[in-house]
Amino acid sequence: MLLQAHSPRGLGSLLLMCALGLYLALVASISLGPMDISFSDSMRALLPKQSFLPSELAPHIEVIIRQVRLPRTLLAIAIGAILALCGTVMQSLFRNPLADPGIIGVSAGASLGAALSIVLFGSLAQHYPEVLLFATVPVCAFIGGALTTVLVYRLGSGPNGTSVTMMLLAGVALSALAGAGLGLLNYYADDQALRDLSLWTMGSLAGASWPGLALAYASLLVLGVLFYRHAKSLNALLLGEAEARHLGVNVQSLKRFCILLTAAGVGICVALSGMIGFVGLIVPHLGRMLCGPNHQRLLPLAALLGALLLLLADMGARTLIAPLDMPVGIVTAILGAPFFIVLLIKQRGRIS
Amino acid sequence: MSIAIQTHQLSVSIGSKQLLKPTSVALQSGQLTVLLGPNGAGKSTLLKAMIGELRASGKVEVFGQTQKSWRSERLARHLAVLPQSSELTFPFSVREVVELGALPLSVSKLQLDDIVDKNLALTDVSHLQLRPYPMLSGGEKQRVHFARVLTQLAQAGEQAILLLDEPTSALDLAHQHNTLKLAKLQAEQGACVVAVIHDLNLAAQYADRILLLERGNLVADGSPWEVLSERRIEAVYGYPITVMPHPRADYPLLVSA
Repeated sequence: MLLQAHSPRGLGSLLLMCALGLYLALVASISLGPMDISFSDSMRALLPKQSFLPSELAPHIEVIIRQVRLPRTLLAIAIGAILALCGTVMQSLFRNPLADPGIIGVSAGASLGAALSIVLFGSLAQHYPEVLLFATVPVCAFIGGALTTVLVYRLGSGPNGTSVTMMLLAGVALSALAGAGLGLLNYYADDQALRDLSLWTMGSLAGASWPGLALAYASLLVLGVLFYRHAKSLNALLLGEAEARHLGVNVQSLKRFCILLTAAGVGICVALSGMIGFVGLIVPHLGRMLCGPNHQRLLPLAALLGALLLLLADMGARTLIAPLDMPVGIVTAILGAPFFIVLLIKQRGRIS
Repeated sequence: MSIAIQTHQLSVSIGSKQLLKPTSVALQSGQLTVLLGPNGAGKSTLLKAMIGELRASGKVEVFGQTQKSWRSERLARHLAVLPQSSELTFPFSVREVVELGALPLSVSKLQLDDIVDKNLALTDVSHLQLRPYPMLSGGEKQRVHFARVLTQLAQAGEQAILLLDEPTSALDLAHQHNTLKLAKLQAEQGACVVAVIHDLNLAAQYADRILLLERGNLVADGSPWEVLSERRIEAVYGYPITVMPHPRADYPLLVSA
């Protein structure tokens, strides 16, 4: 029997260990890939050009490291952290550890939004500047994600709180609907849009670009700060809505805030890297096992763990069937789906 | 004695059915007031209407200020509610659950530790403080929440209101009495304590004042001896009882006739 709520180890050392792991994974990720580049060459390619060192690096190595591996690695970190934060907050919003943006259909809704904007605006590309398209996709993904969250929340919650069964079934229904919409769009898409769309269904970090990275890190910063500022209210919300109200929390606005911000986070992730499932499910669980459900501790830890997990998963995606590059969404699903099944078995008594 | 909660013609309707008829009542600080009545009499409805959990007509004043005009963070320092049961399933430690009560307070970590230690001891859950809350029994959980609401009222000063919604429903004999003793202690220290209770003998033993409700009407209001008469209880509950003085204490004892 579990006699202690969680390990009494300090949060500081936990965070430090995760940060160290993340750093090691980052270095490994940059020197790892289908093209065999030695570790020292990979690191040298990152350094600014130094005139006093005779440059013996082939230019293509520098391009691979700087333009391909580094952005991809950095994107994995940001997306992993955002997905983990959104998963954590969503589980608190639903007061249920089975909530995950992928499982309850939010990612599907977001990707339908993104796909719609690619197909609709992509065909206008001649008349439509690329910068605008770059901004349109995340916005549409956000709208799709927000609409889905609101719908799932409405369907899943009654006067007696949130029903897990209803929530999961609503997710199934909305995912199916969004899937149908995506399938339909395939017929209307031109070749370029079709290639883009296929990315959306499995999720991949291969499309990392510097503007995308800027968007990802800006969102990570904003989401992280805003979520953390509501950490105490989120703790109170776990007691129940009435209890949180009695503790002085404005529950209605907190819920609205959570729905909007998680939808924004998921929307941006989907726009940048497609549907990457299960990070938002696994990471909050790992985090709670390590430091308990208190959001003041859990949120920072989840962000680091999420970054680490997705980076490792992406390294797997790049190397497991090299030289082919498989979508990272496949790796997270292979890890996450069995994890979800185990959770279901553990919760079997409590669902219904 | 000062008035903590005053309702003016407070009533609650759902559709055409009036769950609570217009009720004006003043609840005092320093007293344990018990709401009694058969199922569906409107006890919980009155309690919830007083704190704005239900859409109600009429007016409620809390410490002389209309309930709606209180800022919710401010009111939370003075008014705490012990729920019947809580759906908390996340593995907070017992101590963390009690610390959640500090949300509306402004205290340092050191002060909070003292407050929490004191309340853990008061509700007899100190030995459980590192255990995960979801693993506790129903009675233990109830005591943990009692410690939480006491923590919430740590800075209430002279103005404390503690509302208990069926606090004894899930408890065994000893814990029923411990919980009500704690409630009584809070009243003696100046809080206005209001409890919904089903057990007439618990009410008789601990209440300073009993409000008896029947089908949404307040039908009796007074001390246990005044309210708990054989004729009135039989009329309200539809069940014959005998009232006798408790052999060792000064409160009525009710048994089936």
